[in-house]
Amino acid sequence: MGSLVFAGTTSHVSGIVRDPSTDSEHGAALATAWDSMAADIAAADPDVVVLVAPDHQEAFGLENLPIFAVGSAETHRAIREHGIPVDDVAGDPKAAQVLHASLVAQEFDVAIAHEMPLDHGFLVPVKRLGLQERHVVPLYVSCNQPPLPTLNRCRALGVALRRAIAELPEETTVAVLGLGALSHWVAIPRMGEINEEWDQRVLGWLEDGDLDAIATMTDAEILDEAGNGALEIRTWLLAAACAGGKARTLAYAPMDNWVTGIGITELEVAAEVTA
Amino acid sequence: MSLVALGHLAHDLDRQPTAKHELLADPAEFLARYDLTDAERTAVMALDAQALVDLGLNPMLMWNILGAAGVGPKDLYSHTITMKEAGH
Repeated sequence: MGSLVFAGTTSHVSGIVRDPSTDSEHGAALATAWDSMAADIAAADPDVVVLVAPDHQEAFGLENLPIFAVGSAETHRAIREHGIPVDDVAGDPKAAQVLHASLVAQEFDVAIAHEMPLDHGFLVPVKRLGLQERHVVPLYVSCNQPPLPTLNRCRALGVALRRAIAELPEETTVAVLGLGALSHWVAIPRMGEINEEWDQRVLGWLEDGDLDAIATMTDAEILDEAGNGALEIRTWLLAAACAGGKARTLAYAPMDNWVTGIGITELEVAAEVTA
Repeated sequence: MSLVALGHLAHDLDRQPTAKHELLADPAEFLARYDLTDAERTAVMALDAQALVDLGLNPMLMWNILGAAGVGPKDLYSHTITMKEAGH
């Protein structure tokens, strides 16, 4: 029986690895938080790391655009869009296929991709959190090409993922990371804005374990208040629902040079989760 | 579907080492390689961010095209240059 041994969330903007020294005021606090999360993951020593993230029409274009997809490759090739310094990472096809089968059996019609190159949304956190030598299973969530899965559906998928993890063989240990968000406007007219109030509000809900508050936001509200990049909050909600416990914010900073609010949290792993 | 071709154009400009140079050297010839509609071709030649998004191109892919022409991220919707001007 598999078990969840770590859960957390972080933003994934490419500036994290492209320009890590940016913004001395906040940079040190964020670096400390990422180093702390990396140490906690290392201590948990998961056999598999499930990376819950969007794709930015790099792996999945309009030719074939799933809503949810599990990656089941031996090696997940790094796309390295815009030359970002990230590397290929090992997959875990056996674990991926168990998770996929369980999710489908739970009536989540998730696609499976036996080849799934990964963009910055997945691989920036892999690099920053020292996960390069671990085995990953990417769980893609459509976050930037409507129609998007509803927030409630993402939350329910998180609960189903937790059940799927329990179906992994032997004593497989798993970490789940929700990757993306917080407020940022990407290539739309308000690009550069950051809504600290919205970011702090969402972090507060996560700290309170109030997933209802997150799941009842509308996409129109998120777009208006926090930008198209904040639609990636789906990945955080999914991870939080999978963990089932409250979040502890390790750091938050409005990073103007990275044009995004950066949040880093660890999630308490509850003994059980409910839909 | 022409929108898929527009997406391929955006990806090629990031992934193919010579694509950006070829686009700027001869935009019309470069765009002829893609099965675009007249409206899409016109929007690319005008580096018209809003028109490309309105045609259905994801804003992030639109950024690839304008970025290849040298338009900065803060100028995507306010610049006044065209593809031909960007090539000179």
